[in-house]
Amino acid sequence: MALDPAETRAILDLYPSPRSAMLPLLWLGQNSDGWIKPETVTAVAQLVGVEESEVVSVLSFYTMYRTQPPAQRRLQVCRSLACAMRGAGEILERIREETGVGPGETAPDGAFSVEVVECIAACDHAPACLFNERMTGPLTPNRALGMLRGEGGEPE
Amino acid sequence: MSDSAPAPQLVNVTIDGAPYAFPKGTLLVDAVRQVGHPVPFYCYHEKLKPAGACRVCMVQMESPRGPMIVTSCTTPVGEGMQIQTMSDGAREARRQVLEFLLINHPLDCPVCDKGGECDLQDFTLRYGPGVSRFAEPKIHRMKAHELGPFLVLDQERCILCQRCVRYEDEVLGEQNLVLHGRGDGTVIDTTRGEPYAGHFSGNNTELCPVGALTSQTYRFKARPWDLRPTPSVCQGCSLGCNITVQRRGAEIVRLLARENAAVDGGWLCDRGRYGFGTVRADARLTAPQVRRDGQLVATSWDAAIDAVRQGLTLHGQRGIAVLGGARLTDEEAYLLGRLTRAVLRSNDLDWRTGAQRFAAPEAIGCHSAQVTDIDAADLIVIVDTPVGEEVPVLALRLRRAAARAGIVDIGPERNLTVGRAERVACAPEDLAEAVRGLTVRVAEAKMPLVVWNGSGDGELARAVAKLGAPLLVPGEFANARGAEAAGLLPDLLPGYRSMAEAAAVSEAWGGGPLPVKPGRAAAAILEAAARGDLGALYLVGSNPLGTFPDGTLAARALDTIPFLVVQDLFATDAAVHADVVLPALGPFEKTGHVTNLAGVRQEVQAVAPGPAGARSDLDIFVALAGALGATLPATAAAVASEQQALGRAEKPAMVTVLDRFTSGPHEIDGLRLLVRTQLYAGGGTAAFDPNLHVVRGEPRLRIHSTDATALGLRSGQFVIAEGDGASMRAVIELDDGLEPGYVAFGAHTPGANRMGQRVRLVLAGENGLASTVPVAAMGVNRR
Repeated sequence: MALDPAETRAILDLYPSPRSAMLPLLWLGQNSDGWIKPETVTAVAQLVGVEESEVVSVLSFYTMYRTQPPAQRRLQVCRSLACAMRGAGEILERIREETGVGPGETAPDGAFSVEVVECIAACDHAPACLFNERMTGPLTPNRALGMLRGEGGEPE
Repeated sequence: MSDSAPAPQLVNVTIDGAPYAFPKGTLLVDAVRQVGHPVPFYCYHEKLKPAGACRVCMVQMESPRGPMIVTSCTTPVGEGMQIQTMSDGAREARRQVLEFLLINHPLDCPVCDKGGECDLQDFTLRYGPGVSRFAEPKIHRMKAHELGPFLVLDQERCILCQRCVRYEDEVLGEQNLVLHGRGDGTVIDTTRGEPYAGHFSGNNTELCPVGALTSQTYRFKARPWDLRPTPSVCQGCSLGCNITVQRRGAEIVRLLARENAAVDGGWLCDRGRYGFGTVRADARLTAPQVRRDGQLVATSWDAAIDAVRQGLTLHGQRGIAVLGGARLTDEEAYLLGRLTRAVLRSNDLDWRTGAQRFAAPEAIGCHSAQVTDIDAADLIVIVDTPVGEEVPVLALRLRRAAARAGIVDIGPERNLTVGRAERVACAPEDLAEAVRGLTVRVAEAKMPLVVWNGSGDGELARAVAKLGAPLLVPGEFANARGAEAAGLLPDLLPGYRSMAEAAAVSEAWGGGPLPVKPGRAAAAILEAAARGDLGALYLVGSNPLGTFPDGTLAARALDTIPFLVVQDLFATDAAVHADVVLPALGPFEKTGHVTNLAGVRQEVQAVAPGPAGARSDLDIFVALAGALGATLPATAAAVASEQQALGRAEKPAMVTVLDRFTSGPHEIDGLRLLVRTQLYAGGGTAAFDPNLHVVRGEPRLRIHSTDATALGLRSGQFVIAEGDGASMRAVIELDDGLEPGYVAFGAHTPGANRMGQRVRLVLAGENGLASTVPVAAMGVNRR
């Protein structure tokens, strides 16, 4: 069950208009399934009283909602100023050279994915990244490749 | 308080230094346009709610804090407002917005369909900068993204005004197109990348202010300045939406909506907009044919007309009957009536070759309603009429009314597929009872309205008439009302005259007695033919094999009739039986008038010559009469003036609606078989129109999802419906608008009316042939 009934109720009760609960309900779905399944979209549309197409449209506006199942290992490399200057671009380039997977792409076997993100407030660790939602840095090309290949180096 | 509407409160506004007064609530964009100070706009459209999305309609408004730049499409007039439309500030604001809109625009105007009629071109020229300061690479997106069978999107040209998105939502209530993404990544697409499935995609191409949404049929066909427009009227259904036919040279390249507020509200359905492929279809009949030694062979018109004369002379002793006429112009229908009665001397004449029993509400004792009455009605009863398939553009008006009025939707399936409606589910034989059950509610309503396509029996007709509410009859034939008024009925003369007035009509037709005994209706004609009691049958633009509810009877009739003349655009399955085939001209090829479901008489124009060997029905009637020694008026104008001089009867007679005309309910595996109008199923021109081929697809068998589950059927699965009379292959479509317990074929689907009494479903194998396993024997739960 993607949307826990009790949590759903609690979220809906927070807002005077059900429509306002659309984003938190989508979060609820993503947190329990790892991504937002089509049936979650259908359910949220019914719960907040809008057409499914509107939920899809809203969903596409926000980059942090996932509409595909996530890879097993997700690397999000920061490309904002400090990280860019400390070599984030070179790391991404090495990953592409070694694995053939570029920013925004997922390995064909679904084992890992690489994304670029804007500042994650870890400039003191530049070049920083999130690995499976956990921050770590400074990142090196070899460490990034090791994490993607599941050979260790993950943040605690 | 008085009942009359209060005079609108006026608001004083100064525009570019001159004082004006506008009704309260007027939007600035309309106000400045009304007084001749146009501002550019993309997102704003009179038929859509303001969005303020494109930001190009900006004007300058004085405020206590100094001059403000506001979007005129979202700002209503206010007392004392001072507006500058061409101040430096307003001009600079628009110039900057236009520069921004062009940053990622591909500027492929030389190959763009919209070039020459593009608001982005025009406004940039008038209000925009001459050059762009943006030197960075442009973002590339999908260039020829096929959204659906007719609609192609160029995401790079799109300026995200959202007219299409808002039209889908506000006008259609369908949300076929939505915005995806944000910022410079925003694009228009279908919700989940599925093909656009609605019936009204084409209106988007006219709403789109740029070259983003284009038509599959018009892409790269022409430049707007090469096109010549002709105003005409769509003959796809009985609504008669107004159109502008645009030709490049002799070729029709596109149809545009030509708003008639009393008829179409400025919209077209896709069948109407794209259904002009018949004029150049390869399948058109191009020469008359006569049967020689069992084979139909091409011949000259003189020989064909003479063959008809000979055949009628030889077989006419045993009776001549004429079926059809509801797809002709008013003039042609009238002339067909005169030909049949005065020249062929027969009253065996009927336009009702389908399920529709009458056309004008008065014909069953109801008041006629206007289409716009839908907008004011407070209670609308829809009786067993799939309005979205039968008269699509009328359905849009009903959808809008559903937000405001009470809609009672009666029948075995949901008639209004979008919008709030109160369902009264009932079997076809219980419709009259359901209608009678609404007597009190209709009587208590201030402005009730009934919508019924006229397909049913006499009991239902009496029940509808007894409601006493104005009626709209969106029937299955485009000009049924014209045919009925012209007297293409066994017992009615032109102008709803009874047979008692035959003498008056005879006088107008130049003397000579007319047969006064009422003739036989379509069912009786076909029965007589099947029995061998009829000598000759003349089918004019009609194919009872496809359209008559009892197709088995029609098939026996055409098998047995000694002499059959078929006059049509295409070699229909009726033409295969014919002794003489006469190729006729069709829509877009004839000038005359058609009468829509509300009785509005509208002019149609010939814009294409049609196949060289085909003739207009009018010319054929004149030639045929000539061969039989009679003279008929030879032009549409002459016929129209004769018909007008004859006028209507002082006390119009009513149409006889038979109490029974079908061969009873059919069953499929315990489910009731319905034959329902389906937009592209086609019994007329749609079946042969290459433009519509893409949406026609396989015959569909619709079924409620619970029944499908019980029978183990999936959406998209092929089945073969095996009847005693005919078998047909169809694809399963789940449709929960249909009540459980029914399955539905599209009307006019070849074979759907010839299945016989018992039908069983058989799963189609991979090769499309029947497997040996009947669905009902698969060990699943049966109802």
